Amino acid sequence: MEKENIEHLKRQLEVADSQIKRLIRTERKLLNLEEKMQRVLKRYKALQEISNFILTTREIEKIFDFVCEKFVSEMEVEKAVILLKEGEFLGVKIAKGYQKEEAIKLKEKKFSLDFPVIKEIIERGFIILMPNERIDSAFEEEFKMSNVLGFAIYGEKKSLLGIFLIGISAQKLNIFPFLTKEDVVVFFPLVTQLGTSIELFRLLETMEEKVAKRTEELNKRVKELERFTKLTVGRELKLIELKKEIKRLKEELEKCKKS
Amino acid sequence: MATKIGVGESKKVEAFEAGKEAATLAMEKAGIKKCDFCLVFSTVGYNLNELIEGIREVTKDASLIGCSGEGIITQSGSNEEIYGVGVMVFQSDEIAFHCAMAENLKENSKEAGIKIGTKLLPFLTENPVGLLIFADCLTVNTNELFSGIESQFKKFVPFIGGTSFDNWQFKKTYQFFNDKVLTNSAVAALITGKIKLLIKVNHGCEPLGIERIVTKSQKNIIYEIDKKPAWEVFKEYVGEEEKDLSFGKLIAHLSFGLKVPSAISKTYDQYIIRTPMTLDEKTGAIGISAEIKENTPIQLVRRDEEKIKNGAFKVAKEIKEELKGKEILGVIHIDCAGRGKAALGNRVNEIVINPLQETIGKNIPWLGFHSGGEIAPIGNTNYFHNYTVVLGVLYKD
Repeated sequence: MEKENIEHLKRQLEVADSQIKRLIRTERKLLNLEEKMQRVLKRYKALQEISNFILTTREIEKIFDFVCEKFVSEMEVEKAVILLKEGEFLGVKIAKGYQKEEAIKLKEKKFSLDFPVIKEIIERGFIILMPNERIDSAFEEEFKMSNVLGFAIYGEKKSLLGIFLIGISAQKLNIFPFLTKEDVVVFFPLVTQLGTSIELFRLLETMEEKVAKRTEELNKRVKELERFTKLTVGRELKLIELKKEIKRLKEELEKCKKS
Repeated sequence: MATKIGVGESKKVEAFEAGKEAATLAMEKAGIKKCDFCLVFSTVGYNLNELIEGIREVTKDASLIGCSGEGIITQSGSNEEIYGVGVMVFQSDEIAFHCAMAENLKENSKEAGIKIGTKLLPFLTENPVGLLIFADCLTVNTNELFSGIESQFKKFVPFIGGTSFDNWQFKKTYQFFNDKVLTNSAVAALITGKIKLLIKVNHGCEPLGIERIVTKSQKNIIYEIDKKPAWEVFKEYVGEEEKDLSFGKLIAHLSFGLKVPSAISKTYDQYIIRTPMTLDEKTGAIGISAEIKENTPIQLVRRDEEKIKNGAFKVAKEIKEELKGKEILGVIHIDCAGRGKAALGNRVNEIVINPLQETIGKNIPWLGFHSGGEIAPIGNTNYFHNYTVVLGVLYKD
């Protein structure tokens, strides 16, 4: 009887233990899911802040700085770079996550549109390069990225405005989580918004230039008119005076004739 | 006679600037222009050499020790981002900090302990305040390290500290000693003088399933549990998709518990926690940061949010009551990375940090880090812990 009881208890213990294991496995799945959700939520929160900043800021340089700073400080990205098209070249406008001297050197450089990786970004619209893929050494040397996510920044009618690069260097691959295809979808709307902003600022700049030119022209015209008015009014006054003089002389002449 | 302590923090991305900012703020808070000793905790995103350069631009030749962590803790809460540094500066004519370091923990932790003990022995007083100690979590055998130091001291000195960590990559962790950034090393500061140190320890784990036996082990490596590879036993509780220890922050959820002597269990807890730190995927052997002997009963444990919350509050209340009417000068806080965002998401401050700081005091200089393991005594024995909070409160009678 005692032996049976012990066997029964053993079986019950095994059942309880297997139920615990199942519960823990479920708890683990939930925890992993919660972690992923929190990471995504954190990124969306930062993107929301970037979006608001873009909408309320009137200086494009400040926007570039804010975008890149947010990426390196809050989105677990080591490096962020914005390049803008200047004729047939791309110039680095901002580079964050680099050592001071590296960033200064990078900002002094111009990259041709067929520079490795950049050419592919322009052709495809975006690129994701994982650390195990072969990355062109010239690109890696310049930008110090081994895991790269790059976007082309387009304006109206798909005209190229610039490139937005984020990435992780070979030395920091064991610190930062890899950028993956999933990140393309998350960051894509931001790149579109950046493109719209750059266009708007350029439009604004053109408008301001036009307004300044037109104002200058108008000022010139006003001055001419003022001079003309001055001249014509002066002559008119002189005529009135002369008429008065003639009238007076005529009266004097009449008086002389009478006397 | 005065002791001035200040804490500064920076989240700047540029390493030198971040170090400089944190140190400058710490000096300003302490109201001093020159400090004697400096404690530094930092996350691993930085070029750490530049970070220390930035700090020492402000603190000059003051002794400096510290380590990398998964996050840092100050009065503004827990920061577990990739960029974060905290600096605590001390200027005092009441206490002194005597620093030492030793490399090659992996090769011989005992030898490293002896080296530290020998270096500090000439400064050991009758009633030292305690020993601040930080070691590499991936390579240390804490039993050997402790016994090496204690073999020189030949008396009980309370150890308080932790093991350095990275951001859950288990690749490389760092220790700071003056202007050096080290790895595979231990750094320590023996505190002597008239200030007192109250140390409190608490963990938040509950036992899980049936008790098991370590059937094959060597030093700090568990090869087999119940005659099965150690990782196989662990895997019974996790899904097939979780291939290694860092996946899904597995160890922030599950750990091992070792029964403590009954004399301790009355005042502390039934178990002391041991978190797996390394995994040999070929053999399934699991490495922990302390020795474990064959035939030791072992229990799987899981972290329990309620227990963490209640434990933090209990510790804070005890400190408040024990130090009633006494002047608290500063708090050193070592909290497991597994009790940070990996386990509690964005509720770390709400559950762990705020209850502690609001009870003990919001204006007290407070510096801590999220560690790979924690070091603190229970009774008159120094222990290595995991999944635990350790608070060291410096106070005046």
